Amino acid sequence: MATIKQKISPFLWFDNQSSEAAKFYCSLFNNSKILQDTPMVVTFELEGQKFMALNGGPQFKFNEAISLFVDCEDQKEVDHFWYKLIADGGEESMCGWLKDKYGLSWQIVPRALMELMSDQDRTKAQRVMQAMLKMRKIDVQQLKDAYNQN
Amino acid sequence: MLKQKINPFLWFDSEAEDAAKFYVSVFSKRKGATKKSKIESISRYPIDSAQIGKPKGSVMVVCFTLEGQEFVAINAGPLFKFNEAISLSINCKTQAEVDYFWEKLIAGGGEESMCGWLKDKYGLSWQVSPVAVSKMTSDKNVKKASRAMDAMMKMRKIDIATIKKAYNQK
Repeated sequence: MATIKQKISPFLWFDNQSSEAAKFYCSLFNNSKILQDTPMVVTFELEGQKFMALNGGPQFKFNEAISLFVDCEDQKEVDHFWYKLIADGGEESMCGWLKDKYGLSWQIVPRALMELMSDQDRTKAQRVMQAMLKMRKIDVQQLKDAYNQN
Repeated sequence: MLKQKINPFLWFDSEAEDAAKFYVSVFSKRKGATKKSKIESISRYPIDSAQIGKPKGSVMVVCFTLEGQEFVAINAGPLFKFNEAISLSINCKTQAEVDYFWEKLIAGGGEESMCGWLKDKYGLSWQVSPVAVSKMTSDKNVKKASRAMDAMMKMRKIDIATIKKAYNQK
């Protein structure tokens, strides 16, 4: 068993798809691997971060109260995660949120959004936020246009 | 600025700042903590968000670090509630550490659940999990592993010594 690198691991409760889901997530992120795959619990890493997945039966369902926020460098990366994660039965939501085919919520967020929204010029930041509120997948160019608008 | 690629993002009605301070306090006061726990940033609503009852200037997003790991909390109204589908599992090395997190996290209105699970006062689920127990319950010797598992299934807070006894039983 791996030594403790992380004090806290997000722990995902699936009905019975934990192994399949872990493999799916590992296929999308760099520096990812399955660490241990047992019938009950699967331990895996995405971008070097540890997660656990349980086959625990149908008792609990994911909801938006906890989502996974993916910090993206650019539009290309946003597009990659967005289209891969909604594939095969996932669904788009608003403001960069989506649900994957297992019902898990993700936020696919370009770094530009956080930068523009926290701008010292509050009028510009407000325009960026208003533009973002109308989007499903976040569009960096449209955010910049809103920011630069006169 | 986030350093982690993937950040657990917690949705609160209006308790994001209180909750982040509570979690930072629990993790930063742990004896033996080697990595930092702190509030990294607090951002506020740039505009009135009437549909979720958040006035301009109220706390929107709090970024915080627990033992070097980043988390994000938002105040976004009462729409979604935590449940057990996603919990945070704490890797503990000793019984003293298990006892510490258990007591601190259920304080002030949290509740104990089974097999090392609990809910804190905000309804967020945690697992306080000793590494030694994970090793025993996943042992290649199936009989030993299942004795350890049976012992664990009867517990609320995990008691390492009792599980070890069941595991080593003849």
